[in-house]
Amino acid sequence: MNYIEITILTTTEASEAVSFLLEDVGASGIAIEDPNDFILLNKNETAWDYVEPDLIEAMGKDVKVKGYFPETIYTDEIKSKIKQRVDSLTDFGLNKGKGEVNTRVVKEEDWANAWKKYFKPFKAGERIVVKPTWEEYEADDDDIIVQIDPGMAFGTGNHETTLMCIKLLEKYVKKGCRVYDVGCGSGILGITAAKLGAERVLCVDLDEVACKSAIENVRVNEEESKIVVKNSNLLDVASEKADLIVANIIADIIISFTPQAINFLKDDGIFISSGIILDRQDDVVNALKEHQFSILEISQMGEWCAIAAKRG
Amino acid sequence: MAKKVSAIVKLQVPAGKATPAPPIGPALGQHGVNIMGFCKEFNEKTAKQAGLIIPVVITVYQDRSFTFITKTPPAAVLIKKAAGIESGSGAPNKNKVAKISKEKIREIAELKMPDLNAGSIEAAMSMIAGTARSMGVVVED
Repeated sequence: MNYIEITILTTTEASEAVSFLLEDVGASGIAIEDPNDFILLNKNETAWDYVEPDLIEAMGKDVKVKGYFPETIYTDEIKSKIKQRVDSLTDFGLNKGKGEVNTRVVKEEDWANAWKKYFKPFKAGERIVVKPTWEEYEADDDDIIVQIDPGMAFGTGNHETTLMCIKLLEKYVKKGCRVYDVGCGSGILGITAAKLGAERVLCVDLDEVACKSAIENVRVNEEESKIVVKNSNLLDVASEKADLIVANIIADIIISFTPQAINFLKDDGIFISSGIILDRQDDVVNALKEHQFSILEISQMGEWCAIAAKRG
Repeated sequence: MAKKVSAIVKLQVPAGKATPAPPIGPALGQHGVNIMGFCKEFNEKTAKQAGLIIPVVITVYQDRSFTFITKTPPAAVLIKKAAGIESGSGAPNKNKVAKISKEKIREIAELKMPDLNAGSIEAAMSMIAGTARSMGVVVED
């Protein structure tokens, strides 16, 4: 079924009232896009998320409240009623802002599988090929396939931070080694390590949703005998030392994790850290050096860097 | 997880009943998000609140993964509850359907304060009072 999308340009102050009036005239769903949400997010210094200034600018200053009406029930009368009620918001002491009312038709096929079309099998490293679970892929002899359904978790493999980790894993994972994947998300890095020959892999994530997704992906890749997934803050559940630790998180967490990482690595063990914005590269390098790591190499891609370091 | 945000979308969705129909489908689909993944997770988390409309704030990241948090009920829902009415007025300028005290407005503003982009409790109160008046609910001093 097609829907008519009505978009009203207004203010944060009037957004609740506009949502109500849309619902009142029969909208079957409401969505609000408020640029102030982004601005607030960037002000919150403890937030992990990062919003590019360009994106905030592109959103403009207006709050967009959108109402959806099934095509079958929508009439022009509804639109004029909405316009009239938006205009009268001023009478109730609300700043209606621009108060513009725009319509467009949204077709079901446009959104239903929109996300899947962005996610295709692709070569993530020399040999590793990341394949969505629902896609077909004809593998070459040299290919090592990692199947992923990211669901709600981070890690489709096409983010720069993940790609750099995959390439570094290809270089540093040795047959039979023990690997920790810290902040595992969908489990993509832990699974990659197992496919590259790691004998035992522990994937940990603080987020339960990520753990569930990782467990499912481990099963799909038939690596249950090698990989254990645990819900844990960093390596709080680990006991033994590993040959390699990979952590694709963010600079601040990497820095605070460094002392724990060195304790859980064997001599000459490798620590691959990623999710580091270029601006913070020096901070992470300094933290690593302070804790007796020697830097092996630094990869850069887009605005991100990944660092491979060795204990000792 | 290095997370660069590509969109933040607020939706109002019936608890336990998210489907790929609008607003969810178009809102998330345009950013390439796994819609069913969201619906499944949302329904699981809100199953116990069946019957309520839940505002949900979804953050979409550049790799098209996402997270979401559920918020306090929409202002209109809280106003209707406080004023003891089933629905607001379709012609709020002419037909007044209920009254609400300043005190109640303050209570609602305080409850919703963390979720509103209002700078102060006064700004939040004026937002709630305006919303009430736009529903044909008279705000008493």
